[in-house]
Amino acid sequence: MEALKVLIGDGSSFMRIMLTSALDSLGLKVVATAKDGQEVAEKYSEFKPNIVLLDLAIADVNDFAAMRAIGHDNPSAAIILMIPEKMDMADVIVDAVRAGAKGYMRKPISPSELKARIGSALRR
Amino acid sequence: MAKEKELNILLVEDTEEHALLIKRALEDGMLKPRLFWVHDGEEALDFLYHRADYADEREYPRPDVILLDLRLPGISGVEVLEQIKKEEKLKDIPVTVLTVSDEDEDILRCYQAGARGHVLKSAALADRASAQGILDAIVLLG
Repeated sequence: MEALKVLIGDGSSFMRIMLTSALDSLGLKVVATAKDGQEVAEKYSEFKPNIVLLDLAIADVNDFAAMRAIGHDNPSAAIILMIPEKMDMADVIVDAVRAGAKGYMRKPISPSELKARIGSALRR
Repeated sequence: MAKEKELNILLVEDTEEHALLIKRALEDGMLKPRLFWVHDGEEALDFLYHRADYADEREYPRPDVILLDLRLPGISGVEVLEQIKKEEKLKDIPVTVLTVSDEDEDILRCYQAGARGHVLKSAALADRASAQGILDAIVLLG
């Protein structure tokens, strides 16, 4: 089966590297990373990934422009929003889903937890 | 040689078709977790509290991740989630809610009740490849 293509949109270069490494370990192919909303929309258009992991901090919460651009391209695009755990983002979540997010995951995603989970998976 | 710690997932899903798609996707993926499937909220709580058929803690271990359908017969998914988050021994287990609903109120309730993640089944189960990728990602990252 062809590896699933993933686009990571995150303002932090550390997170981009960590997530790329983690997803590569799982056999998912990170085809591109992007540091801001505009780049996310551009990279989506270029690479047509199966999944977009998008950090809320670069998701342009006023209008979700990048998500809307992707949704215009492909209404069924699997955009999963990564949101800060400590912030109350309840109002934003609803707007995000209306704008095309197909789900959310809360941050932080810690390197040690990721390592442990991947380790568990790969030891089997 | 004894296996090292496995990734244990509790799937709470009353729709057999969805449960089988999720099971197949997780088996296809890289994580290859040990999956425990229960059909409703009451059975989920029995599993988590080691009651009834789930009394054996070694056979039915504390899950590392819970995938929870929102619309369940009897005790709802949100009620199960709220119960998990109230319980000191269970509250740290990450729960990702799977739902067919994109209704604002459902999503808000999951979020406010402490779900670690929420995924629309329409995206997660769109096709075999997407199901595998999204489920691996949410189990790993969620």
